[in-house]
Amino acid sequence: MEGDGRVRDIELAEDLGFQERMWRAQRISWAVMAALALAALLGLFGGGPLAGASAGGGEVSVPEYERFVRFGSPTTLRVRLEPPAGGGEVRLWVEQGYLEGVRLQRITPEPAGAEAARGGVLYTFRASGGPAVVTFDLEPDRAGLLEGSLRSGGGSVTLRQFVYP
Amino acid sequence: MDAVIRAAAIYIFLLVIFRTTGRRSLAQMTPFDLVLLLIISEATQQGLLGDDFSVTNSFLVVLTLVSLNLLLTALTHRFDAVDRWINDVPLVLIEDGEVLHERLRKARVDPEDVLEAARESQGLERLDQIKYAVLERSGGISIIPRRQDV
Repeated sequence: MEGDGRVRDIELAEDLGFQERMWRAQRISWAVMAALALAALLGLFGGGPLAGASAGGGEVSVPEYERFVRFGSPTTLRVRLEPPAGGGEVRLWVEQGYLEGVRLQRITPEPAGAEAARGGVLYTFRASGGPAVVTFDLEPDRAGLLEGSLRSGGGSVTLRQFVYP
Repeated sequence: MDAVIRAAAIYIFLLVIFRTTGRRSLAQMTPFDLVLLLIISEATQQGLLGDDFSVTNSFLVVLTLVSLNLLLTALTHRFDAVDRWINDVPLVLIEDGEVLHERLRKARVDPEDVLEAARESQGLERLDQIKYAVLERSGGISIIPRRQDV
């Protein structure tokens, strides 16, 4: 086949044109690999500065969650709630769509009650003075975009997370 | 369904990785390459099986991997272009005792590697005793010595 034009007595399916293309493709792929590794270090695939996020404010906020998470690997959601003056009970409503996309491992503190309500679950926590911080330990159970809103009192916050397969 | 998609994804990923890191990477395997290979298999295992440890799942994964391999072999037989991308093409490194340095550099082969292959396969001592050195598709270097009638 095509070589460099020299006549040879060796039967060889050399193909310099292809060889050059292959080398170029290899060099491009090295660059892609390096870029992916760098992006992973920065947290594009979860667990880095790019992945950390916070949302909301006022009566319900999520000071800490991950924008990029992975299927089946644990992640944490910290929710800050403003209890009504005088303490007592604070309620947090979580949209059904969000709960369907995750496997809840633990809620800290344990909710005093949970009931199905208006397309979601309404959790009740006992709180005594100051803002209450509730931690959800969960594992994404479905790949793709994971969306859902949380509500408490008059406030509401919508979370958007991407779950890598 | 999951098992097939997982196996296919990992098959394709590994194919791309191993093709683009070049044929030199595995043919002349050093002890460290072997260790690396073991670690790679360890790392992919979890993704391959997911959290399903059933016999059915492992059957499906193996079935998918072997089928894909069959399919790829069939395609490489049928289409030359696929064959080249999957299996590469051979490359002449030394022609009539003349070392083609540019090619060696681009293929990431040292003259030392060529000499090593020459010693091992033909018992040759110097580069000028080589008529042809070919970087084969498998990644090995084959040596054709000059006739010894001089």
